[in-house]
Amino acid sequence: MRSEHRTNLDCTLHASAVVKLETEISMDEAQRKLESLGNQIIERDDEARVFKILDTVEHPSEVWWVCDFCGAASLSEQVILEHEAKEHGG
Amino acid sequence: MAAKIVNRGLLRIGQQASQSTNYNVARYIRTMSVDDGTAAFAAAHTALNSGGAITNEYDQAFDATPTEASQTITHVCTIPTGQGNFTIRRIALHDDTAANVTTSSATLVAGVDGQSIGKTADFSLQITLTITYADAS
Repeated sequence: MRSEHRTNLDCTLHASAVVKLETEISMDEAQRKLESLGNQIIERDDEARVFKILDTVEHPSEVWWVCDFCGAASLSEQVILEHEAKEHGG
Repeated sequence: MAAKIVNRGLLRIGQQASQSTNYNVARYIRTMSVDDGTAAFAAAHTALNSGGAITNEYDQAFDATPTEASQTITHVCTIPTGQGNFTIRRIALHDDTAANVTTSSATLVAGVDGQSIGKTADFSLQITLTITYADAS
């Protein structure tokens, strides 16, 4: 059994966000306020008066599992393992 | 958390690139939205409320024309102090003007869900969404 990507085009969406302070609030006070709102501070730039609060992580493309004997494919590794055992004796 | 380009978004990208039957010069990716919906985006979704009702939503045009580097298109939107002041749980891209984007408009192209961004009038929020078109073979 082998695994492979079955498509060659991968459209990946990535999101990031920074908060910019627009009032006279201090950076320390702003950080406390942002954290009290549930935000996770990823980066803090005192000079620019911004906080990075979002930076999503890319996920790998879908991996297809392929039968070594006949080329049958599935997104489930277990399905192909069972297929190989049942149809090809291992 | 899912970051997903929905099926109608993929179709729109293809239509615009190939100028196929339903190509529409005005229906390009041009608006960003934030909302407090808790549903995960799914491939079959066509609108923000496809997975359930939305209580708070705000959308606006990009700050500037999206930029490109290699095969990545970057979309930036700065939400001003007076807008989007709720717990932002999802960010999305749409293929129509902000005037036409609503929670039920069939304009959804792509979105990121599962976030929890608290925003108040003390802050503006600059959000960057990138789409990378890569050869994954």
